[in-house]
Amino acid sequence: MNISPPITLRPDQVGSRNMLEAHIGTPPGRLLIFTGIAVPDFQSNGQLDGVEVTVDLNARSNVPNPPFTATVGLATIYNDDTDLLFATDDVKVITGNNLELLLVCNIAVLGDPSSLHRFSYQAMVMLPPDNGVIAGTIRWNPHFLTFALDERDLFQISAFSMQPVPGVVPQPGTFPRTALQLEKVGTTIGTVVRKGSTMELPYEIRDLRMGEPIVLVSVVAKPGAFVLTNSPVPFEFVRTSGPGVITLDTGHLVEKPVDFEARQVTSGPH
Amino acid sequence: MGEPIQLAADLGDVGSAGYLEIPIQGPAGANLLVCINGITLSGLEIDPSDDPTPIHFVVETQYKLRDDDLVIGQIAAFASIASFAADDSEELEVALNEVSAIRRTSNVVALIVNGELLGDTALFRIRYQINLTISRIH
Repeated sequence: MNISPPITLRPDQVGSRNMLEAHIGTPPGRLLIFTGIAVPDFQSNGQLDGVEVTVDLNARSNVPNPPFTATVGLATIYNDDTDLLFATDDVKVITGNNLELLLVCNIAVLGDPSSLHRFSYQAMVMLPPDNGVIAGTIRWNPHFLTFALDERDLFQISAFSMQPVPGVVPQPGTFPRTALQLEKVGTTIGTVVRKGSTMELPYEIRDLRMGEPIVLVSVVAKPGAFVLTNSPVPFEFVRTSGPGVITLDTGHLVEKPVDFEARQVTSGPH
Repeated sequence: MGEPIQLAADLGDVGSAGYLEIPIQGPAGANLLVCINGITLSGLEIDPSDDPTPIHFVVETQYKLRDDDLVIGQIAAFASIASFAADDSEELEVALNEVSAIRRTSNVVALIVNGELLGDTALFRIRYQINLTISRIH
C-alpha cells in the first residue's frame, strides 16, 4: 500500500457537525458525543493508497487521552468502472498539545480512479469531573503598606468548609459540633501591579471539590510581608466581593471575582 | 431534489432498531441521554445516467418523545453506507453528503439524509445512530 502524508482537515472540510454533552456520575463527569461527516476527498489512481486523516473535534479535554469509543463509516465514494476498494481501517480519539480533542482515522482507496470523498464519524469521549476554582484580586494602598517579601510569598490564602467534629456526639436537642476544615490553599498569580492609587495582585484557589460549600475564604498577610507606614493602626485583608457561601458544580466551575482589600483593623465584630 | 424517500420503523422499514435512555445530571436541566440506532431496510436503485440522482431520505425511528419532553442542545446524528451494489461496467458514486435529525410534530425522532447516486447503482441500507439529551418530567 502507498501511504500518503497525513492530512488534517480544515473546518470547511467537515460537515453536518454536531456535539452533545451529558453530565454523568457523582461528582459528574462529562460525556461528549461528536458526530459529523469528514471530507478528505482522497483519491487513488490505480494503486492501493492509504492516508491518516485527522479531524479537529473543536473541543478541549481536561486530561490527556481520555477514554473514548469511536466509529466511522463510508459516506461518499466514487469509482470509474474499475476494480475498487474503499476502507476505513481504524479510528481513535487523542488529545493534541493543548488538550484539543482529535479524531484520527486511517482510510484506503483502490481504483483508477476511485475517490473516498466523505466518511461519517461518531465519537464519545468521557472526561473526568472538573474541579472548581475560586479566584480574585488582592488590593492595598501603597501609602500605608509596602510589601517586603517575594511577591509570590506575601499571603496565606485558604478556603474552608464546615464539617462535623469527629467523635463528638451532640447532646439531645442541640446542634452537632462543627469546625472549619481547610479544603485548599491558594496561590497568587503573576506580579504586583499598580492601578491608580492601589496595588493589585491576582490569586486563585484550585482543585476545589464539587458540591462542597466553601463557608470561608481568607487572605492573611504572612509575617514580615508588609511594612506599615503612615498609619498607627494595623491593616487586615477583608473580602469585598463574592457570595457568602460558595458551592461549585459542573455548571458553575469558577467563582470570580472574590476580591480582598486591605483595611484598617477596627475594634469590635466585623 | 425529488420526492423524499419516507421510511418508518413502525412499518418495518428499519432493522436492528434499538434505543437507550441513560439518566444524566445535566447540563441545563437535561436528565436523559437518548441514543437511537438502526439500519434502514429499504433504499433506492437507479439506472445509469450522465448526471447524479439526488437522494433525500426521511427515516422515522421507533423513538417517540413525550409531549412535555424538552430537547436540550443539539441532536447529534451519525449515518453511513451499510450496503450498496453497482454494475462494474459503469461509473459509480454513492454519496451521503448531509446528515441531521429532527423532532417531528408527531414527536417521533427522524433522521434526514441528503446525498446522490450515480451509475447503475443501488443504495440498500444506511446505518445510523441519533443522540439527544432531553429534560423529562417524571
